[in-house]
Amino acid sequence: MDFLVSNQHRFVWLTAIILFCSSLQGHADTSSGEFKLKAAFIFNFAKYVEWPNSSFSQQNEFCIATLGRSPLDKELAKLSGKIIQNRNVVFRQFNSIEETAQCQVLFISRSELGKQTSIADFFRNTPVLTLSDKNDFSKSGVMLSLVDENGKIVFDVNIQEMHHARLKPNPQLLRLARNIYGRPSNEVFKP
Amino acid sequence: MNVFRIIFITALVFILCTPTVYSAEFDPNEDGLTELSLERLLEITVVSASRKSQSLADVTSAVFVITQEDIRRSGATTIPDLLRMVPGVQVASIDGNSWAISIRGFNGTFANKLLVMIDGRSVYTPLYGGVFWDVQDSLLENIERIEVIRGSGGTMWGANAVNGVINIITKNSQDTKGTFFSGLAGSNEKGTVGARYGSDIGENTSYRLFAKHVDRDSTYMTTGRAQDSTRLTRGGFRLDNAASSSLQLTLQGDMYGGTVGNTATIPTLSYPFSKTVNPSTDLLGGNFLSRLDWLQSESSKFSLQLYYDRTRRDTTFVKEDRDTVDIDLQHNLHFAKRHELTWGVGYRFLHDNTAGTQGVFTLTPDSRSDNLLNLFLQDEITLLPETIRLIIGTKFEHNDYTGWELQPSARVSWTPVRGYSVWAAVTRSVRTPTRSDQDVRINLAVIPPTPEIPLPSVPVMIGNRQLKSETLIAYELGFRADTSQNTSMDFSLFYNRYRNIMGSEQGIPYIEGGTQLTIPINYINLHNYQSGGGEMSLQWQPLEWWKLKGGYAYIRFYGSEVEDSRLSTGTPAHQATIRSMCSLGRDVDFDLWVRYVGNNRYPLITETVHIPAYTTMDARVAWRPADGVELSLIGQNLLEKRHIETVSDFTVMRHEVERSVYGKVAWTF
Repeated sequence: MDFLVSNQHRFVWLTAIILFCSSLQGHADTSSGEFKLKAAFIFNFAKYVEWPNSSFSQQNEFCIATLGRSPLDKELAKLSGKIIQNRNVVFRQFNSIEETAQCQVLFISRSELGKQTSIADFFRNTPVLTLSDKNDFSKSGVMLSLVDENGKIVFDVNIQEMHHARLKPNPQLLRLARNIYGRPSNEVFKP
Repeated sequence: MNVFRIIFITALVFILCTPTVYSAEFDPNEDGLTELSLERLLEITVVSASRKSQSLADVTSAVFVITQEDIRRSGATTIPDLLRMVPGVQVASIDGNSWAISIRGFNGTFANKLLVMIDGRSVYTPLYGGVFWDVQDSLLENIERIEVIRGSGGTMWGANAVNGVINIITKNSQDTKGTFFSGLAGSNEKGTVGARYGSDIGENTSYRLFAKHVDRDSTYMTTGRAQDSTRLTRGGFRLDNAASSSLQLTLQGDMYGGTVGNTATIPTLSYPFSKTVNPSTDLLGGNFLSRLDWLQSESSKFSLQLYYDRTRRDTTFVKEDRDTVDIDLQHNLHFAKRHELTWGVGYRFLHDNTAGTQGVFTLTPDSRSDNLLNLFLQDEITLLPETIRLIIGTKFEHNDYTGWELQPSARVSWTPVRGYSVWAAVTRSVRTPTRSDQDVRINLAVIPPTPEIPLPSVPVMIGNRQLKSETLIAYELGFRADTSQNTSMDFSLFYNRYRNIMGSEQGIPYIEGGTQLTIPINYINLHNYQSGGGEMSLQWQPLEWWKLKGGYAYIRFYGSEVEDSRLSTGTPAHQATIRSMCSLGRDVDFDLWVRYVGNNRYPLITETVHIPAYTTMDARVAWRPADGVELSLIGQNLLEKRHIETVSDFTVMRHEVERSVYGKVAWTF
């Protein structure tokens, strides 16, 4: 037992020394709650996409909505009152897909994604930017998908779906995307 | 007492340091976050309220994740069959409802160097250190993923996580809303049905209820049809509440009951000195778990888990009732910019009541209570941001059998370029003696009387209360590359040094009761072994609709008497698997799975059985004719009529796995 104790002593000291040494130098690492960060992404996306003018029925309103309940609701609701493309942001929460055609940005909760295989078909000619946070693009056909990777959030774009909906992505958005789907060759493209 | 003091002081130092250091952490307010550019957002690290989770690229051990897609497309109907896709895991069917499963060797009926958990609840039995796989089940559609860690997980998870950890994680009820039905039937499946319903209660709470009934036929044995059918019904619930984005509560539980058939050959004192019987085992069990995850701040989170588990196995010869209560607190803390400290404390109370049968299997005493206390401390230090990380930690565990056990580890990870990482680890882990190791008495066989010895001789396996823990020092090296969205690979190498592996030694025979000559066979810490090997797994998606996943594993044992050991063999040197997943349009899947398992030998007491190598293939065709409906047809073990995978320590009967076909309907709405 003495042997063990002396080993433990050494271990504790070693730990203390390493802890001390490595805290001497710091670097600016930032971290955030997942949902806050995703909401910030969604807010930013809206700045990088161009909607056809006809899509704004309420001239002064920029509608961000969610379909189905998701933990993002609370964080997105906090965006209300901010300005995007010279319009006031309003937040709405919908439970059926038919109600959603009047909004500009729509986050589709995971449970809804599971239920609807026809989301892509429904929005095909409707200028609504559809988003999800599930890494399952080809099946659901949403336009932007937020994905956890290496403890950070990255995003994939489905350019074909955006094109169908007459939404124009800024080249900057495409440059920053992890993957772009729906190129004419129909192959996964790595920018 | 010194050990206590050190632990206490260390813990105290960390706790006292906490408030002052984490307040220095960057705390972005919401306005700040939305004003950041996309480029900047991409650089922010996510913290979540759930237990410490990492992306695969950051893990410094050999991890394989079975995803829900893998589960669905494998066509497997049991958790053991799913594990066959993981390189480095040995899975062999013993009969229709029992399996020998191990990681990196030591496989057999009594494989005991593996920790298996379902949603954080330990399910290996403290009776002998193995897992009763027949009762480890769920609606497979409820499983989010199965994480398989090859190599020691002792620092994090404690005793028994010697050669690996299997962590079965079910979906959050948020992701299982709606109604789901499934049914399957086929050549060996007489009708397995499952149902699930999930919904919301109010704004922040979701729940699901599920039920499943399994009815599986008896399988083939060399002596004819076996009696190893499975009839098990289970039901359960899960409730998740996210009161705020920083507080999550999970309540879950399930219950099961049913009967499985077994075959046992037991020694008898009169001619023909053994008989093979078909006892059926009545199974009954249930568990309840609650977990609270609290994100105190961006840099500090707590997790508190409490569970109760009750199991009953009632065979003709042994009736075991077991109760387990476990409480576990974990705290994860980022501080001083470069440290991520995780510490935890846990306590488990175990109580069993095991009524055996004299002359076959008994435990003395037949009821026993045990306590298990653990303290755990780990620091992940970023030596060079996003490039070099050092993870050191240890577990201090106190058990009633061997006292304090120390399981430290040191791991280092180097990420030279994003997407590529190299890691290395040195770990010490232990397998503490089990209840049987200490208290058992098993009549192994009866040797008929001879003219020299007029009494029947009975070799009797006898437990030993002086046993020490088996220990392992493991050296591991791994390489992981995630070169693009469509290829990834994972290589790992290991060299393991085992000490004090339990074996047995014959004692001095004595006449017992005037009717038999007892030959005591005592458990002792006997062997020192080494093992070395490696695994690789590859994933390649050549086309958007075609995925290939493959794996290969090699292992070799070294050391004295390794050839004759009952423990180190039973493990094939070579194993390989390859899966092809084709999506033919949106509505049709065509999947193939080929497996190769090398030859091995399994030493029984009476003889050493040679298990030949086998190659087999499963195939699955699925069609989704309408939204939410999937019809599939699955063929398993198609390449030959039947093959043997391993033999049982309980019986002279030999079970073989047959070719089988089944059809399945799944409906979600």
